[in-house]
Amino acid sequence: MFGFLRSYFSSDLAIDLGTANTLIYVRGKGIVLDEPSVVAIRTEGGPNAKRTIQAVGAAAKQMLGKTPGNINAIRPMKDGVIADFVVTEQMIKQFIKKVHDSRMFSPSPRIIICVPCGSTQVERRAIRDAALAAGASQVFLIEEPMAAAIGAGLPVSDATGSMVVDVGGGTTEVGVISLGGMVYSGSVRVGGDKFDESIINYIRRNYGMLIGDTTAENIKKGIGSAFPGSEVRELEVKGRNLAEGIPRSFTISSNEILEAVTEPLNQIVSAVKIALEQTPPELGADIAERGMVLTGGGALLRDLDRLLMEETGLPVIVADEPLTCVARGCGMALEKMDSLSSIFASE
Amino acid sequence: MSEQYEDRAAQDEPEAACGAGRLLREAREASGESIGDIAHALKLSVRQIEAIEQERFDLLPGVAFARGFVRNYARHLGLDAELVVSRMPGAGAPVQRVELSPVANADGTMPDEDGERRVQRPVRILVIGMLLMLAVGWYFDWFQVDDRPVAVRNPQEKAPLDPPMPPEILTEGSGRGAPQPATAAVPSEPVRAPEPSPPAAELAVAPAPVEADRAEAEGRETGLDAPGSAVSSGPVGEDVRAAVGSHAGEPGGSGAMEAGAVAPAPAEPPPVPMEPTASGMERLVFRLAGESWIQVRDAEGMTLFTGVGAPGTERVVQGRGPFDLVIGNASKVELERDGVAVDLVPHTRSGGVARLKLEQAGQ
Repeated sequence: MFGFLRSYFSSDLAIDLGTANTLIYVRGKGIVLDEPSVVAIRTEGGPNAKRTIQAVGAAAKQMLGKTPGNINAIRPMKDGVIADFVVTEQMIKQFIKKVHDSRMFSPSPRIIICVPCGSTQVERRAIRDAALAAGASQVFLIEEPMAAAIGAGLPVSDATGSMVVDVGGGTTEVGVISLGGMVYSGSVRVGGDKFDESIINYIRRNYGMLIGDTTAENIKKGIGSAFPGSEVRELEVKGRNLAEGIPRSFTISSNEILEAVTEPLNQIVSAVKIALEQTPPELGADIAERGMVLTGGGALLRDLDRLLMEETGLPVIVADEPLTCVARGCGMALEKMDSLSSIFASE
Repeated sequence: MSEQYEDRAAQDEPEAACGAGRLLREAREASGESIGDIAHALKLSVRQIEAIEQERFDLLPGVAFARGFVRNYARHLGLDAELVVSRMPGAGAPVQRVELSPVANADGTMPDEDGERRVQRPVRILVIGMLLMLAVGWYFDWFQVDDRPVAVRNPQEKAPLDPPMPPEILTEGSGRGAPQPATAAVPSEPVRAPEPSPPAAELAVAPAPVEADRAEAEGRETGLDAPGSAVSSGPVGEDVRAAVGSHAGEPGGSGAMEAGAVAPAPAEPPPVPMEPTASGMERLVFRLAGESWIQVRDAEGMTLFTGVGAPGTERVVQGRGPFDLVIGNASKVELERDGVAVDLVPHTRSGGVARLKLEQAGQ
């Protein structure tokens, strides 16, 4: 009831609901929220036993892997799609509340939300339903490569081919765009999380040490590399020795990390090559001239552009502020949502 | 886009002297690499590298690509990429808005696959609006035509058609044995007497037949004593009842008929005998030997009568059963229902108050 009033007092939002981070763009204000997609849920005991949301975002991420039994820190998104519907819904609701100042009405905004281009109909419906359940009055979906290309400033509406590779937390999206639409889109479920997982496995296998997700992420950010460079860097890492069961520290080099992440990197390269194979020749010529654009947090992996450059023989550039490209692209679509329809995805 | 770059280049001319292109060229020359080497490393063409070094960014595919190429070039030479990018013309400018919709110079909607043209939005709104108006008009009877003949009715004709029926009637008849000529002669509620509606006429039957008999025996013709304002309640009521025949077999009817010979008030036309609309109407008669408080509610919970009766008076209440009765000082009250005495003793509680429910006749 009074939905129209609540939507009148709510600002339209664009949400990059990513596996690792959630960014919210508010119409007329820009990106106002950039938080990890993590929710900490506390289970209370006693006569009033219930489950309450302890924290969301950065505060909840700090709890990952360090929680007592009654707190569960959850990453509700996996591989770019919803893994836990209820927690995702609550997370979106909390984030929407954070970006709305009004306390008189509970916000009921129109929301543009991005989805992986490889997501199934059921997964898209789940994302839409989660946003609706979180209080959205209307939900529009946009595919991530399209949002990334818009955010990177590519001429998506021109009659030229633009290729974008968005390496996110859960998926890598490859899209070829021309005349405001997707000519080709491909998605592989490889992203930053897979890099972390590979690093954990590598260290367990070669060092007999067990490290957590957060440590693996820090290693990746610190000395991770996608292409062998002249400079070899090292990092001291602490973990639990599997044989002794005692925490130990050891030193690992960037070349070892490169070896660790080779397999997921090869999957990304394959996805890009498949996209180039599938691209119509006229657009392929444009891409050969301009190259492809890397966006997403994965683009920050050192020398990933160089790897793709060497593998494909094409120019590869990293977009400005690759982490926020998708959210900015969603935001630009939001600003023009009333006059645009072709860039939105159907279920 | 090229114009944009030319404009920016013109604005930033002094800065262009130590711009990104020059920085890159000097660094390349210092490293001893040729343009071809750079082009091969960056997978760009020689033309594009030359364009970067000459700061002819309009020859590059676009702002985003130009910045990316410069960043790659700087990294290749071991320079601070962001510093070099910041030397590009228009580097501090806000992010350029991207055109999202392709060029369009036509308008129109294609027909559906089945060949039917889609209804345009204004037409759809118009049609929906008209349907809405029709629905509203139907609801509020805007389109109803009154086909009944218009006739001028005088109030007297109109009166019998008036449907409202007072649910109750109160008349005070003559007290039993108490010589109250004025009360007996004049109907207790002369206001109601002129009402010609059938129920009202029937309700006007105040005195019980016994009363009528007594009046006859005493040689008093109550109606004659009426000051012309109203019909004597008894005779008229009996007259109506006789005509309707709804209370056949009631004792004392003949006496009432005789009393009914009294003419009605000259100002009033005789009430039209009509089939009683309220077929389930019942009559309760309370005879009060002492002061008593009476409350009568009908089947719908509506209070038909509530009040205090003086000793020696009689109250007649008509309505639809079943009735809820509360009678104070019940030992001093006799109750008749359609001429049949109702014993209040079993319902009388401490304090002399009787509470009872009279079920509908025949139940």
